[in-house]
Amino acid sequence: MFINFIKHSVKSFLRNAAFELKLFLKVLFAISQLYLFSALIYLGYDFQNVIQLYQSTSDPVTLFNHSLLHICTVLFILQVFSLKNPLSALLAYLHLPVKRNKLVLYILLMSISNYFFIGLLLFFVPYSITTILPDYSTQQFLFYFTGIIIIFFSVGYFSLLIRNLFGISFVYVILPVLLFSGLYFIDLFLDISFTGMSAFIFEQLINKNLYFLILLVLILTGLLLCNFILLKKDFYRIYQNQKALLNYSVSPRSHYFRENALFPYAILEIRLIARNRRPRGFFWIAVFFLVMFCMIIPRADKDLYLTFLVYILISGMFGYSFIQFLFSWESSYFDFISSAKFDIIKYLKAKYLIYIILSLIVFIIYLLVVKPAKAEIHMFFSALLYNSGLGYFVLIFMASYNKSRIDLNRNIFFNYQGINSVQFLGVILIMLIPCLILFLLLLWVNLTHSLLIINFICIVALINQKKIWKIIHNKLSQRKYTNLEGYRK
Amino acid sequence: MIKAENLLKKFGNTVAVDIPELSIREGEIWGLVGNNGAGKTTFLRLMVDLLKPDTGRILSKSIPVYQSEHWKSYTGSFIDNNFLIEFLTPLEYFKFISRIYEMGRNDLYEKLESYDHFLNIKTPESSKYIRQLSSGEKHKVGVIGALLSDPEVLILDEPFNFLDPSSQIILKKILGSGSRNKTRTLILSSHNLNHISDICTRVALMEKGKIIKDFQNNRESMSEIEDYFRYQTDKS
Repeated sequence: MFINFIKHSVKSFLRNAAFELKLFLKVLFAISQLYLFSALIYLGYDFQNVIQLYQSTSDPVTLFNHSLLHICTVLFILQVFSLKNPLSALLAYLHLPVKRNKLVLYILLMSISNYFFIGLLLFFVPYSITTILPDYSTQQFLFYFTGIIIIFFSVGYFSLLIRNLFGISFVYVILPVLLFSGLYFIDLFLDISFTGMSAFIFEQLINKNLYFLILLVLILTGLLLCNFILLKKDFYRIYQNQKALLNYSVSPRSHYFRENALFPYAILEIRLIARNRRPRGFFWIAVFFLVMFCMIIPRADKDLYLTFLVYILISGMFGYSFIQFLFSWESSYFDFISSAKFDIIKYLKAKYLIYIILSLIVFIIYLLVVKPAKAEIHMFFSALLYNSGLGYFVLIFMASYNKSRIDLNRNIFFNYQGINSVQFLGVILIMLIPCLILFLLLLWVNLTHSLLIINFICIVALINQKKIWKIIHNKLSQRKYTNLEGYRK
Repeated sequence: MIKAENLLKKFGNTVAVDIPELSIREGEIWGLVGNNGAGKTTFLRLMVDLLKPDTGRILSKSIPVYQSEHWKSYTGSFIDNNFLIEFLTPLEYFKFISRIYEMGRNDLYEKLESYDHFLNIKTPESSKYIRQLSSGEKHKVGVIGALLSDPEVLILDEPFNFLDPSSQIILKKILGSGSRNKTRTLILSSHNLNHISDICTRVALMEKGKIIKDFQNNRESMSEIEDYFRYQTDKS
């Protein structure tokens, strides 16, 4: 039976609609895949020489071992957010006389047979043979190899568990977020870094610590058991209703968009920005200011409040630029929004998500370009959290008072249509308030604790965002007729 | 299906709509005729909750339109270009509508194919953004957008405006076919008495915000309306 399953999986892969390409593209695709896999094998095989091209001082073993947890994190994120739940491939077998335990075992096998996992193994196996084996005893190598493979498997099954939990409710997204936030804060406040933890794992394995290996095996067994139980239950839940069935046929990422139907709204927003002169102009101006601020960014040890203010501005540059003109952007089709089955809250959520994603991109660029100190990272993170948890919401609420029309395709320069002094002052106030809170908190506690208090307030707001959206919706309904009248002028 | 009760809408001191009572039954094709500024568009805007009445209310399936948004799931409307998302291509606009009305992709393409003779989305013209289309094409996109979800109630303001004669005939067929088997309630306004008399089962005459005549469509009633307009013209 397993052979049949595998045959079907291979056929389903090869006959995937994505492969219905022109012959030239098929060949190009095959060559690129072959190149990628060969490159991974070569990288593993000749890791020492490859890294010496870039970092002549680095020892390959140290480099890999110190990056182990980072690699696991990336593997986890890629698996969780881009893979389909394997259960969807087995829907057709549920009606056949096949034992459900077999189906579950097959899912457990297939869930780790994915592109990312195989890619990692293609690197790791030759790496460990050519780099670890010559320098350590066979016993040490076996301990290390088994331990690392168990860790990779555990990451795979943890991601499957999370994907299964997503099938029940998207609320479970909180689990990986909590895990990574926990690791982040451990790194930040206890000085136990990812690198340190990775090195610790290597030491335990290479020193043949049996208890540590048993612990890893127990973790993997626990994850397998949890997945097994959950998957067996899933077979019963899957046909309970059409919606559940739908949840299983998509990856959690698209499940989230489908469940919340944000995708068409997000695309609409992206097209609004990309295809119209004025919003496009705003976008490029925001990029220009970001580059400028990154060049003259102040340091926290010199001017604390100015730094925090600049961080709030940078992390919210896109959000503040666009949200202050919210609904004026939509003024030319607001009649459609108001009379069709257009879910304005979903539209706002889609916008909100886009601006958060843009802020996160800015955050990553900031980390890479500015290379800030830990306290500055925490400060930037706090600014980001403030914008996402409070700033944007207040601005969206204020936007319900915008009633002037904006013609989207007009030039941005010397065009004051839709510019509202109240919104402009509102943005400045929204940016100054956290600096004021920080100032007050610093009278009582130190910087770290002050930022943590601000973080806490923002997290509470984020948790209660359902209520905030409701308040915004009510205000929008109240203002609907006044705004519509304004947009028609 | 649709009811108006004590409806009054003023702009300053000008009465735009004043309808004490009106009832449109399920499956009716209700045509509204009147001169410019008679209040037709304002009335249609009140129907789709784009304006707030000063007094009174509009009920759709017995629920006031301002109270619940349920009516949006079975109502399609096109009043003016403010219903078009002009930076999308026609196909993108239709796809967006199909997504928010939870239609399947096949369903969408089937529908578009059935309106192919009215607006062909496969022409090079259709790869343009809506804002780059001619007024007639824009109007067609808006009308199809309203029809796309196969609504129980369809509200159109001046649907024949900007259309060439062939398209007018096709649109009459499209509008008539959905309502002939009484599956759709159609509410439309027009300046053109011929179009109204061709497709409507019931005709109302509006003047200065009031419905002064409302009767079933037959030869006598239409000639009565024509006489009314002739009399108005002579008087002025």
